[in-house]
Amino acid sequence: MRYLRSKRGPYAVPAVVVLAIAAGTVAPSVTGASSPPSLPSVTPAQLVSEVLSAKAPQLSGSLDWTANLGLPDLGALQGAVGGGAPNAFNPLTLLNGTYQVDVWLAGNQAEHISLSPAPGQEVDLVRNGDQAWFWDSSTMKVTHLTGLSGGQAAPSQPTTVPMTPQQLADRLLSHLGQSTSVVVPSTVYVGGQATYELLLTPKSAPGTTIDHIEVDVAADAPLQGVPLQVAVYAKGQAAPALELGFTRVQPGAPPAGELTFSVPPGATEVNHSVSLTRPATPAQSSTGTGSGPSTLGSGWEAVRTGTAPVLASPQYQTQLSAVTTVVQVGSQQGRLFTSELLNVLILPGGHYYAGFVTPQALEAAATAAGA
Amino acid sequence: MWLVEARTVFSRARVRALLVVLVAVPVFLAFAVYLAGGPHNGQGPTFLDRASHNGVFTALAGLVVTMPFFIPLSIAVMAGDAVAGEASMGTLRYLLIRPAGRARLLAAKGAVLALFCMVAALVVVMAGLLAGVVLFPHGPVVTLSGTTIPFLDGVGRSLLASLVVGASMFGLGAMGLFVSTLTDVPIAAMAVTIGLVIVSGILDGVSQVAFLHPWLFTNYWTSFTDLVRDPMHWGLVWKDLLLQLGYVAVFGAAAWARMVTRDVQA
Repeated sequence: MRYLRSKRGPYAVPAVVVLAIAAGTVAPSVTGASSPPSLPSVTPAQLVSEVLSAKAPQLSGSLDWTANLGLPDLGALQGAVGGGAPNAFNPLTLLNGTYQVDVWLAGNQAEHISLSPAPGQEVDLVRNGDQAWFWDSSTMKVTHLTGLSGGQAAPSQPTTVPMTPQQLADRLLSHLGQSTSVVVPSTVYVGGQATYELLLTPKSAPGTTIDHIEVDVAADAPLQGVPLQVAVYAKGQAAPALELGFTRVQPGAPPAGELTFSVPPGATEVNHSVSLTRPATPAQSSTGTGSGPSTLGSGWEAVRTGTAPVLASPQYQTQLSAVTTVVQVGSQQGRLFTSELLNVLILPGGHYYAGFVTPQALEAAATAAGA
Repeated sequence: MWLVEARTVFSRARVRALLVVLVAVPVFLAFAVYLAGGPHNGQGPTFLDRASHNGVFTALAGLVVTMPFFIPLSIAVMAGDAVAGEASMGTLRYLLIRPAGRARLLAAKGAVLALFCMVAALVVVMAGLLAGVVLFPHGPVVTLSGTTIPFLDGVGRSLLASLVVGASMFGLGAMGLFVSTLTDVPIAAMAVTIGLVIVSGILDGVSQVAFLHPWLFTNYWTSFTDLVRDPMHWGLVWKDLLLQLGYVAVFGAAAWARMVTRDVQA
């Protein structure tokens, strides 16, 4: 008991507790939670053909969606996008942070996606056959869509050029190969399932913001060929800018109760009938003045350009200026929206240039296009 | 000793006053919604727009409203008073004359504080349930997932939520107890403890220190709302409880270290 007589001795105990907690937190990430699964090696073409021939999966599970885009505060856009009640679900919130998404998938027949965008709020999307429901708990509102093309009634379209998934994969990869290096360097466990990691890296594309893309494809039946995780890495970032991956997978048909939705008492229901038959002629742009978008460049450095009069309309200028910075492009003053991946340059008149390229590449494209 | 301590604490007038305030808040809330009408769907604090739909949500709205301030305040008062109060009254010396020992005294203080955390959250939910059942419908409960569960199931979930909220306060209680061992002035210990809540709450709202957020004891305080989803989501609740356990371990040990080395003069 001598240590009790010293004035400092007992403080070793809380110090040890802190160290133990720190060690317990850090250790799993240092030693690696588990060794990678040992799987027979496959070529990228084999893996892609597995993806193409995979059936729509039947499973219940949870995913983590992480967006780390370095976005400006999008709160200013709340009014423009959220609309209605202040607590109503605003999809823009999903562009920042980590969210757990629960899914129940029943092949082509039905699916249910559920997530909590804020504490005490849940939004659900349930599709079953030709109808779907969207539920927002904070507004107690159900949007009921009917007349969707039923997944079960759609047989695989007979293609004019019969191609096996293998042939399709070969063609896809030979096309992709010009701009992208595609390799299968490793295996990894995703949500407890053994997966192959498909790594896509842009080749000689200094202008792009994308460093590489990882797609983790399940190796074993019954989920063989189903991508279980996708991560997009921006240049100069260690953590993915966007990541969607399973944390828990339970193969097999999900409970039927999760695949339908009955409007609860007290909720308001809004019905929409959707007709998926496209009009013979493309609908005229409602604005009339907007020119159709086109693409400049190709591959990873492609830049979409066009005119969207809404970007020049006075009523959205305050919101726009809150999320963009002013840049000088040639003789014009433009506005630049930046993130880790997507950048958008907006010039007077609503001309926009957007792409997964650096702002410099956007400005160069705009200058070259004669802006 | 623990029973004696619990009886002493809960018979104090100020402790009863704290509990009366915690009862009053959800009751007042329920009457306000009953008389003036609650906010429309999708407006106001979480669950308040549903308070008039079902008695269960009256109780949960009570938890949401009392969780950021009233409950932590009462915990801070109790924790700050625990040791410093005895010291300032000059009774700590006499308590320590007994052979029970300093560590056991601290353990008894901590156990009664934990009991108070649970009781504080429980009285809020009980009062909310009672007021809600009297003033509002008490039929099947619509969960956040849009499904409907029986009323008794809803009552069970709100009681479960009160247990989670009570346990969520353990970390704060442990810190308050540690601060209380540092001083002979109970009001200072209370102020510091409530200050910790405010600082943690502010840090939780600053996205530049997002890496800190999983370590802030207030970060998962709202996790109890996941219990009203269908199926119930336990992920954040477990994270919360684990985090509170960590705080209790660190600050409980620190309080012990301070207690056994302290010069007790008063």
